[in-house]
Amino acid sequence: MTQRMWKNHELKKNYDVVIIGGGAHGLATAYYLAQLGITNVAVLEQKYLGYGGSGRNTAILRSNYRTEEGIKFYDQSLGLYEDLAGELDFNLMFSRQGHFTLGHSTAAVSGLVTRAENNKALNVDSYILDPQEIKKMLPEIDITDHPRFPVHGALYHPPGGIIRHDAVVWAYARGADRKGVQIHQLTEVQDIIVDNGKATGVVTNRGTVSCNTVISVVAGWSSEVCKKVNVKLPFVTHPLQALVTQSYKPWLNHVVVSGTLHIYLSQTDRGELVCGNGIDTYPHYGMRSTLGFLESYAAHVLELFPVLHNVAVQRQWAGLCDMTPDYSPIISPIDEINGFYVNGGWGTYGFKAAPASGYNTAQMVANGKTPEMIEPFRYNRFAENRLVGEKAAASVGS
Amino acid sequence: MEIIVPIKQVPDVALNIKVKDGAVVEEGLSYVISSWDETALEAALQITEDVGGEVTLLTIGPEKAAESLRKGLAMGAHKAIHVKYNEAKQTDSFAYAKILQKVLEGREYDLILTGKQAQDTDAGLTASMLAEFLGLPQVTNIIRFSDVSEQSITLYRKGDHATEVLEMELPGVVTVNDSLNEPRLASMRGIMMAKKKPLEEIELDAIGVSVEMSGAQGSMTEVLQYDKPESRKEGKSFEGDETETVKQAMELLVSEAKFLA
Ligand SMILES: Cc1cc2nc3c(=O)[nH]c(=O)nc-3n(C[C@H](O)[C@H](O)[C@H](O)COP(=O)(O)OP(=O)(O)OC[C@H]3O[C@@H](n4cnc5c(N)ncnc54)[C@H](O)[C@@H]3O)c2cc1C
Repeated sequence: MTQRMWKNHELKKNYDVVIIGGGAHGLATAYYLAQLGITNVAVLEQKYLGYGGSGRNTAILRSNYRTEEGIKFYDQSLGLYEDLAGELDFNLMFSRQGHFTLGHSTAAVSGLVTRAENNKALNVDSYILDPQEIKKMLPEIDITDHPRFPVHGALYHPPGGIIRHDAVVWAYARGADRKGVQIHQLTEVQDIIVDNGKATGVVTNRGTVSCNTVISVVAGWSSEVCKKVNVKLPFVTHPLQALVTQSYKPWLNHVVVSGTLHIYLSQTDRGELVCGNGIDTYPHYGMRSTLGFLESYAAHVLELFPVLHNVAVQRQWAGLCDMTPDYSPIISPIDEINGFYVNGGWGTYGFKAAPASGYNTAQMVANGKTPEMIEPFRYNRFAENRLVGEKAAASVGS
Repeated sequence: MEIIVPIKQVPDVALNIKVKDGAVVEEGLSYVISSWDETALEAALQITEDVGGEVTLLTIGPEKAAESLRKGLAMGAHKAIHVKYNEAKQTDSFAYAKILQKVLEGREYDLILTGKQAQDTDAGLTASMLAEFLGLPQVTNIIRFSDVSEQSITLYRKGDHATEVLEMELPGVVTVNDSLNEPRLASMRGIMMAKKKPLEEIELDAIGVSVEMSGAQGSMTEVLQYDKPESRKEGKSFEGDETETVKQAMELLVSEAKFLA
């Protein structure tokens, strides 16, 4: 008999914890909460699991960030990803193929050197390669001085790679379901009920639910959900676009990112090239793909890899990214509203963070105390001027 | 061989199209080349690759229709003509065919190749009317072509029991069935080069199209409103043990659906 990955349920009148958002982060949070014995949990998703960034991202994983806080956090996440397929008994197709961040100027390379040093100090494998070394590993790359922005060097990060994003979403969903969490698709949270400064429930299109804890895990929709409780956090939502080509024989064995050219690409096990740019420059909630993106991607990628001129573009799409001023997430209880937590600000780089984000959010909610690992990501940091500046390491190519 | 491929930009029907208060909800629509026109473009590209010549795309539409032209150029068309036009909603096949006639009069071409109908209206009239207006022969709904020369082309149409084989003198108008080919995808270089290809913009008055000839005035028919199609009744699903669920389904087929009475 066919077995469902997760079950459908009637919406109950009461849960201990309501998680808004059925992306990788919401589902991971549910899974790790259940692991801590908190199983009276509902994940409420307005559309279907993976409707947001989790079903639209380009699945690059890495931990070679810039700040101590960032590096430690993303490295914990990468570590969790390493064992996740076994733990969830699901083939996540994690391919550790190594990750290049190209530098196209002396200044860019010196920024990469700083990152390499910071990474090494925290035991993250990451080092600088010169153009000749790059060429050995990426034989098709143009390292001559023909391109407008010649390659000067790269930060190479062997543990980085790609994963099958849908599989991560489904595996966490199944894992959470098996531990007793209820997953509700087509269930939109329309309002959050706050009583005497405490979150006590949510109003959905399927009825009202009471609970002790509400966690907003909605990435690109974070401002909208926070608006329901009059909390204003510095999220700005921008579209991010991506494309996939037809399948080709394996020729690209590593993830390649160029900040200067605003592009990145990798090749999946199926042979397609998965490609992306930086965010669309205007804030927007539309998930429409544009010809402008295709044109700019094509022009830039051909500078780096002229061999790609005949590669055919199969499909393009867009998703939403909740950018924060310092390109780091917000994972935090909200002091003004007891029992209300926000997990967001995942921008263009959050998929790789899902395990650590879910794990620490669950700890925070279960123990009523913020784990040290995510303490730097409290929302008060903006008022207190303790930014975790990751823009240099987090933008383009996630 | 000079081929004109008239294309229409239509809402992407793969997305959910909503109807409200008798009109199509514009918000959230995304626009693409009508799929039969893409098939026509592919055929035109194959012909010019084979016998030489150029493919010219032609569309009548608002500012955003230029995107579809650029996509067609990215697929390989050589140049494009954009007739600027903002009255698409009130315009029927007759008025479109009249405008196309005005654009094409005085131009040199051997073949006009387009989709057998547009994906949004499914009317399938414009190309035939255009052929009439231009006084050209026409063959519609082809599934194959062969023996292309400057003078003639052989065309195949599928009937229920036989395939019709026709030879048409050129210039002429041909519309295509989507079984003709699988349109190519744009390549990286194609996408990049498209920006540099000639895209001619034409205003209606420059080609002598008067107000009376366009929009509602130039049309013979008028769309009064759009109604939602009746939604299908929700299906029933059964969960649990197979012998039990099959039994339940059988009972309902007999008692409710009267299917196995
Ligand atoms: C094109 C693209 C490429 C990317 N590439 C990468 C990459 O290579 N590496 C990387 O690490 N990151 C990448 N990202 C970022 C990554 O996708 C996101 O940061 C991550 O998926 C966020 O996950 P999430 O679970 O927090 O949110 P989402 O997956 O966005 O899930 C949020 C969910 O909340 C639901 N929701 C919203 N409002 C409500 C409501 N009121 N009620 C109920 N449900 C609601 C939404 O429907 C959605 O399903 C990319 C993003 C995009 C768009």
